[in-house]
Amino acid sequence: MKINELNFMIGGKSGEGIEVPGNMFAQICMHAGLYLHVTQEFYSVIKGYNNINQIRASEKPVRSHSNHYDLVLAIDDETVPRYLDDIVPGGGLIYDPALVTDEAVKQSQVQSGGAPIYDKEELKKKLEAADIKRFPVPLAALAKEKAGFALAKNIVGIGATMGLLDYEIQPLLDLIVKTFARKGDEIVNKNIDAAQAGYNYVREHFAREFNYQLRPVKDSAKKFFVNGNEAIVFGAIKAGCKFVSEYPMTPSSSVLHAMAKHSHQYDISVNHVEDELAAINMAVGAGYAGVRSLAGTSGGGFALMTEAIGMAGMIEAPVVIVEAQRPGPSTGLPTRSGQGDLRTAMHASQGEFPRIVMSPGTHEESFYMSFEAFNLAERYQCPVILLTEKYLAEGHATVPFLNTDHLVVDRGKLLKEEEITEEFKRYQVTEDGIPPRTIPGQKGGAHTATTYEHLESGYFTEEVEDVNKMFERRMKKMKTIEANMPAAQLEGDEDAEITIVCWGATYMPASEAVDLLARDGIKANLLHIKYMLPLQPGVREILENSKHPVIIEANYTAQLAGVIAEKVGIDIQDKILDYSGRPFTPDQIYRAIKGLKNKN
Amino acid sequence: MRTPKDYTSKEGKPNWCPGCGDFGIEMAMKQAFAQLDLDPDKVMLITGIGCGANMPSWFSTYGLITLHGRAIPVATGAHLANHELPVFVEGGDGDGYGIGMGHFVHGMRRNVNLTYIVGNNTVYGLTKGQISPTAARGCKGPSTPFGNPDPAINPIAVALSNHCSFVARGYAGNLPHLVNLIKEAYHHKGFSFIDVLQPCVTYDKVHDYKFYQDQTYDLQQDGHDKTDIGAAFKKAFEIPEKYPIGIFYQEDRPIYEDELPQFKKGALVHHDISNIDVTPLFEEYSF
Repeated sequence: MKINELNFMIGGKSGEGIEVPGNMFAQICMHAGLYLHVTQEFYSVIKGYNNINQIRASEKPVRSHSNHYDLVLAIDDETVPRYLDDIVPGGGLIYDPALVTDEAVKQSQVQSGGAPIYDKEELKKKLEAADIKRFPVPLAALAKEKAGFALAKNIVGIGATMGLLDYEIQPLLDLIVKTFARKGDEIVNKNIDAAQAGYNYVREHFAREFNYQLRPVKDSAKKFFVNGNEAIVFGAIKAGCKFVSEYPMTPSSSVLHAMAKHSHQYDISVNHVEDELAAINMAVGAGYAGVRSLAGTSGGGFALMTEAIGMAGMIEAPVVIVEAQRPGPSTGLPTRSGQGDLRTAMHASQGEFPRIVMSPGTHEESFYMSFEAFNLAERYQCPVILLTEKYLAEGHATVPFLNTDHLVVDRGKLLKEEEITEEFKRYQVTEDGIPPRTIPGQKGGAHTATTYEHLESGYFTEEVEDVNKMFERRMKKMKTIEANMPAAQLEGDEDAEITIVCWGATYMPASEAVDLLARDGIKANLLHIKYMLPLQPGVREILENSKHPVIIEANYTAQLAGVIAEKVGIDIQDKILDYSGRPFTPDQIYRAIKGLKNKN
Repeated sequence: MRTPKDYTSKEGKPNWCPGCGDFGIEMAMKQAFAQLDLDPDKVMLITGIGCGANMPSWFSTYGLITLHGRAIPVATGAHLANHELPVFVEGGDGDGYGIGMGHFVHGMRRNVNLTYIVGNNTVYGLTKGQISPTAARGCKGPSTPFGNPDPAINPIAVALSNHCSFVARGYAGNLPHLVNLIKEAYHHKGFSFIDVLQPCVTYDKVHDYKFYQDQTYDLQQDGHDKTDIGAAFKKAFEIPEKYPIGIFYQEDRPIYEDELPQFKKGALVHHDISNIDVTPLFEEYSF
């Protein structure tokens, strides 16, 4: 019997509701005191295609998703043929026997775009042969009978899931009341009946047949449940961000949504604006005027923001940009994950100017690095790009209540009114390259800020000596940033035979892959690079001492490997690259590294 | 009492061509500021890119020269950061009606409290005389040697049809009138828009001072009812025969920042951010 260690997946058509039962399940697990990691794979359509909701629960912190399922709840006809092979031996499948029908086969022929077409007989044979526990539950029929509408099959399904896991039903019923309360008593009662029907059916037909159970944990740590965007929003709010402008774009939209939701509570001006040009230009304007500001977007919107990022660099206005990556080029795969925008983030906009590009690896790190981004933007008076990817941005995880006592808001060289002297020059040449800063309204601090090259006063110039002086002063900030940047850290045994090098959310599966390799006696350590521009110090030393570095990136051209080769002079030979739009799994990394070892 | 000199930068003089309409706009703004007795340290002057958009260089206020077409969103962000300061946004017709048209339209809808002054001379001066979006069909320039194939934008009609709460036109050659318009725009709560007719003495030989002297007339002297949007639309379409100047339309409507509780506790820039407690967020997202 496996207790409190479950990788659960719900599959269903978009529009059929896999999110509601998924959230209920996650909440029940949280209520039970478990850790969670939740990720969704979905198509860029509002209704019709097969989507999955992957929920991993454990008593110990869960760092990543996995594509090997202990239990699958198939709400639609496509989940079974697509994911049958991904259920672990002894794992369970809750499905509606009515779905393995001619209709299902016909449906599979409708969907274009290279999706598989199913053969009914073959599917039945395969289903019977699989080394799994089959739990056929007439989901749709029970939904119709008990709730009066077939769409409640997702609620029947989640009821069945709780029954199968031998967990009490009351928490689920409470959540149904909470979720559907605003739709009225009738809907609440119908859904309660649906959940109860699924629960009872499973208890009646499959009592104690499943080898997995959930049980409440005593005295577990206090946790909250967020996606990466929300963690970034929390960090931004903590940092005093008061201005947000964004044009919705998957997978960054929940930055805008979460900010909007809390805008009254924390006095934040949150603006859904006409386009990304407006979004970034407004954020730069707010930053210039002395308010910590944020613009969120994905690659396509970021491309539109390009020119204004250069403006922030030139007028030295602080601004934070969250770029949640999805695979390109162009519209690419709107709802999937990828890391193809590193070079774009590093080089977007004409000319050369200081900027910071950084990327968190986990939900917790998203909070802290978001907070830090606002300090860096004001300290160095430059744009800071916080690069994430859909896997983190939209993926949920439990995070223990975070300590914020040590977080100090640092506004850099922003002068107080009494510090402004007659000699004040906004773009003054200084030792560290960082000039003193005033904001509109401050007595004696008036100046012109301009995107043209300028003198120390801010007045425009084209004279060679002045141009060079200002250019060199500005670029000097880059050296100052680098000198004050935390050094890269190697996780794990220094003598390991493999060094996994990665960035962004690939850290999550990579850190679990390290454990999988250890089980086979392969010692691996992990270099997770968090600052790409400037590249954080210490990378060279770590790689020079590494026996066998392997880079893992979710892009085609190994962009970080290129940055490392360019800045550190070490050309990492072994690369594990995936540009399919699906996030790495621990198992995928584990197998790829085993493959490399066998090859060598 | 302040004078235009109090708003003048000590660092250089405008580099516009002699006779440029921008001198009129500059002087009108400085006179209006002086008559309004604005504190230079409490004024934001935010512009795009172009001849006229270089304006902040010759002002002693807080000034920001942004990007071509982006003055409105930058100014909107700056204003929402500190909505207690007056914001003047200025630029040319290419900046506002060409590359920045989207922001112009949405800025008017949004109705934040700022004044937008557009120098409209029908040409791109800084890039050497190409046609602008307000150039008439058939106009010739280096990019349209056989004549402009497109009809002109009608900025007043665009403003009237997009909820602009203060729609006006001035003329750079009629200083007292323009000064007065800028003061009215400042006193108006909301997005105040002034299209300013200005000769480009270098690249436009048709719309010179004589032309506008003859073609313009004052709407207010003519008895125009600025609360009547129908009448305003009629006046907007008198060009190119006649160029009415003055206030076409003015309406009291709620401004963006007054509708939101965030701004009730004073300018965002003055909120204390030193120790914000996010534990309530952690609590809200735990079960």
